[in-house]
Amino acid sequence: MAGRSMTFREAINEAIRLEMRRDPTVIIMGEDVAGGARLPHVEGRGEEAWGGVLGVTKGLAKEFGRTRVLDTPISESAFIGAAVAAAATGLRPIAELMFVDFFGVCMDQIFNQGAKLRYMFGGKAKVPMVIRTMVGAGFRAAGQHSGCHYSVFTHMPGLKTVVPSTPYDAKGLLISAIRDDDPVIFFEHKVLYDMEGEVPEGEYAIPLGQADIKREGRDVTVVAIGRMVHFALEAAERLAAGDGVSVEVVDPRTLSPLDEETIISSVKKTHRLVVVDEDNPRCSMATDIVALVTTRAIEYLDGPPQMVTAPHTVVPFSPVLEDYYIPSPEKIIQAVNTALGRV
Amino acid sequence: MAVQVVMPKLGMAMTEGEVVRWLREDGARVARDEPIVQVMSKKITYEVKAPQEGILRHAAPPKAKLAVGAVIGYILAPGEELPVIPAAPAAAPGPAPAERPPTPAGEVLATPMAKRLAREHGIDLGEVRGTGPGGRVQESDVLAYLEQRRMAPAAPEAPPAARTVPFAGMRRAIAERMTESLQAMAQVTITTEADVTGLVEFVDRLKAQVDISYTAVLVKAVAAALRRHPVLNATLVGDEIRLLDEINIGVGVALEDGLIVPVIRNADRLTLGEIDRELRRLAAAARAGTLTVDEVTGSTFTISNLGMYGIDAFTPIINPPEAAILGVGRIIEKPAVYRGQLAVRSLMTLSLTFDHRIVDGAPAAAFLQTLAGMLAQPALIFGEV
Repeated sequence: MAGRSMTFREAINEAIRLEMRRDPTVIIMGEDVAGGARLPHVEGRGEEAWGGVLGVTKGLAKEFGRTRVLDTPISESAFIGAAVAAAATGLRPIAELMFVDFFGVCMDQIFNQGAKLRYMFGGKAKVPMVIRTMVGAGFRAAGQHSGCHYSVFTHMPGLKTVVPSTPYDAKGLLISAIRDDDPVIFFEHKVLYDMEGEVPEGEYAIPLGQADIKREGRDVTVVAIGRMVHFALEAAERLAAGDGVSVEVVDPRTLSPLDEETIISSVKKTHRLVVVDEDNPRCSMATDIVALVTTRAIEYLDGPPQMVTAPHTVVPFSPVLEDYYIPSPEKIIQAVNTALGRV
Repeated sequence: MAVQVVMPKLGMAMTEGEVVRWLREDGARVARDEPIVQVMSKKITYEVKAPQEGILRHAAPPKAKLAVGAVIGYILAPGEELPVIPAAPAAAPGPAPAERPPTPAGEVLATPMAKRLAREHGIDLGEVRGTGPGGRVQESDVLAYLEQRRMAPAAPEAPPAARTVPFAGMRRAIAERMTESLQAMAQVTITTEADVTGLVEFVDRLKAQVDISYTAVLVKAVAAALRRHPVLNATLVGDEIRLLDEINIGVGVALEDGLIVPVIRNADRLTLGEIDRELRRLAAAARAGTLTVDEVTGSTFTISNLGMYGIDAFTPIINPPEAAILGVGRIIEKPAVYRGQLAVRSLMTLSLTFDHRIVDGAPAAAFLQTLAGMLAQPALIFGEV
């Protein structure tokens, strides 16, 4: 480990940059991913383009040029469809669906084309595409820009889904996603972009389908996804300091494929389960993981599994309600206590 | 409308009871007040009667241990369906309930982990106290139980049992009380051989007219002796020794599968005939399992008689919270020196166990001497001479 610190945003940028240097078939495309390249006020003056609505792809247009960093029209069905086709015909496109909430307009391209082509062509075609997209509430962006929705994609066979929680994981997982021969949806929580963490120099790949134990513990397993990993760690810290409760925090990192073994073996150790997920609760990862554990490890459970999720509603516009909507460390602490049979 | 049959509260201290056996089968038509199920507290066995006429439905199997007030069965109208037992409400956030609420009929509430551990260790979950929400047995409870069992004096490797008897109910109650007694008190046993030829003659004379048992005379004699030696009719509470006003004599009655101690209240104020009749009534009730709580509580001194089994002396264990217990041996004719002559006399060994915390050897011996004197000359029982 180089001991080098960078933000979640920079880690993603670096993963893309390294892969674009390594493999000339890697391209990026999306609304404003270059953001101003070839415009008169930028061209010829050496000024940097915008580089995405939150600056994640900043600098890539400068290094790799307009042929590999493509600003697209505001037409998700068009450019996601183009990315599927590009992938099927030999490129490794990284398409940016700005907010996951927009998936409706390009769902045929993702679900009925991208996810299925490999199967429709008996394996003769493959779709090595990555769709990067922003998720999550907490940005005061209201219902149409704040959902998580990764459960929807995880439901669909043919897609892989990745939800990183740290800069280190984001870089290693995105490199794996780009190199993967199947379509991968890469969900970036917008509140995490400014979060700093240690990120080694150079290339490293974190295999898809490999969970990470973010904190070891004995008394209860908390499976947390994306931003919720940090709330779970905070809750674990407070529980350890307050009551001496030892919480194990498991970060699945990829939801499809899901690392069932790490979750199961953790529960077999702790005998208690709490799942924390910012996504809505019905047909969700939370229910899925609880079902997994109860079907495979019921005889190891020493209390009812608990779920801490957003409510079954659209992310509210009111900041007060939005804050209430998002699972909090307090709610996690309460759920851990319930799982432990202490309330 | 279905009427619930619940686990009765058979005494102030009772918190749970055990279903011993159903006297009427599931689905039987029963009459109002007909005995339908036998239940057991730590002290007594009791027959629960049908609260109304109807069809009996069982809701708890034999051996089920249930909290007082828990439903053990229903009386239904003909054609009526069993009510659906509502699931326990989910534990709401808040302070843990102090009292264990009734568990669903016959079922031990336990987590899957606890059930698996219990199965792996061959533990009856009914024996494990649940500390989880709603009294749910959790892994930690089973582990604590195992630890407790491990710490208990290790039983030598037992050869395979031909049959097993449940260590529960009355058996367990006796075990707990006897162990508690020996652990809490400083017990000393003294014995004396009493010449009871006078007693034998007295009873023989009475029997010509009325059938009076030796036990009745013993109860009367002990009560009279206690009046003169009140320190043996005492109990230790905190930092006080309380000399008790009432003299209530407990008399051990052996049962097929245990022992029960019905009580003769105010034995010093009853006539011999009253004592005898009360003894017969209580013994019959003890064997029929119909003793009430009041009839088995409140004794201040206990008599244990093993004479009918050919025993002379033994070391009876005090029935807490009493201060002493009298062990009565057999009456046997022996050659003895009587007034300077070798003669055939009726002798009986009396064994007195007393709590040395409350009373010392000399006053305990004085009591035994008084008693032996009364049995030698029964007239002494009935008044100061």
